[in-house]
Amino acid sequence: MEHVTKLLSPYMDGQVTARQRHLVEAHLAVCGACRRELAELRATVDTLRCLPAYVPPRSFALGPRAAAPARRPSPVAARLRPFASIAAVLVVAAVGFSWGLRGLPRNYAAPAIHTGQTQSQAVAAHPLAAAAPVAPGTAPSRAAAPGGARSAAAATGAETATRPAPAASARRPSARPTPPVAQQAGLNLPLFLGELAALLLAVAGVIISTVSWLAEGRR
Amino acid sequence: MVPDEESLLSQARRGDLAAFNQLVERLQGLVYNVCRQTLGEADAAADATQEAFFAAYRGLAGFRGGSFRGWVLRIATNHCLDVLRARRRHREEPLPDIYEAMADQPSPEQRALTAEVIGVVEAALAKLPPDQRLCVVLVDVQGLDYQEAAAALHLNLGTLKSRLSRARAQLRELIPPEFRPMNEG
Repeated sequence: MEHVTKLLSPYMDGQVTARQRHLVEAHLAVCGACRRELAELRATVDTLRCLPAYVPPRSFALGPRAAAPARRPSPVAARLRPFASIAAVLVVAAVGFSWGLRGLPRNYAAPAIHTGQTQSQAVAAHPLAAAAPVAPGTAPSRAAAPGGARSAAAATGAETATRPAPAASARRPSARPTPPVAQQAGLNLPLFLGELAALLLAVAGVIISTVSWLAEGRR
Repeated sequence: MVPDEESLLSQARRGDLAAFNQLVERLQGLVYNVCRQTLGEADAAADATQEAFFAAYRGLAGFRGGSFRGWVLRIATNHCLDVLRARRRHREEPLPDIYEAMADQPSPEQRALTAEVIGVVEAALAKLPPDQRLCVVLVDVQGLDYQEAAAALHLNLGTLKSRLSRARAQLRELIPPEFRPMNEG
């Protein structure tokens, strides 16, 4: 005898076809196990129907602000979001780097682009060069160091590299001795590139942050 | 005169938040209870209910007509399934507090079940697979008919019948006879 277990649940809800109902009822008439199962199923469902209805803890009506159309982050913003912190780091790093570079002299004795001019030509060609401002932080060492060969400067690093030539100091009685004219005449490539890199980093960071923030939208 | 659902819906679609909130007031008891019975926790149920109404408001333009109640229930039950999936990924399925049901306020006609019975029944519900649990909650606990429950769960009628049948058979095993006060043999 084949039981009608699978049909009992829809049968008790009246969700069977006339043929299925006939089949179930004919079977129930002769099968005590299925009658018992049907009774237990009914009792189970009756119990479920008596579960208490919970009172909602509050109203779920939407407030005007909450119901304002949500501005979803654009796909661009979604892609940029992970870079927001990187952008912040870039800006900080760039500012720090740039600040650090300020300690270096403008006329750091780096491999300047050689113009091929003589010293006098350079002075003539760049009359303002001698008056070019130098980084304030370099003044004490300059005052204390009368000599300063290029090779020594290159060997001992940035600070000692600022030492001016004695001739330049002699020409300028003030506390701001002028570095060798040939150095001023050349472009300080490492310094220039360093500052350019810092500037680009900062700009990139600010652009990424701004675009990310603008495109983000707020809910 | 109480405005009908259709007129409230058309007003809500034009951005009338008050009209939408009238629909919320009508449905929040049902939606909250479905979420509550499915998730087994009051806080999670409240969050799911609120999220469902948010989503419904935001998605009003996508509502193609038919039963608004069924549409909102579909949003809510989908959200409940997401919550249950996330919960399963992170921790064990929580069993409802046996006394929690009495802490809320059941309606007078439903006081027939003791707190202990309620606890046992809800614990049994929590042991069902989520897809079967939702069928039982909608049909047996909330009293939706098969068609509406199938539509809310995005199932065909045959699948709903079969899930409901399996769920009831499991509950029959999980709820001992002494906890079925309606059992008259």
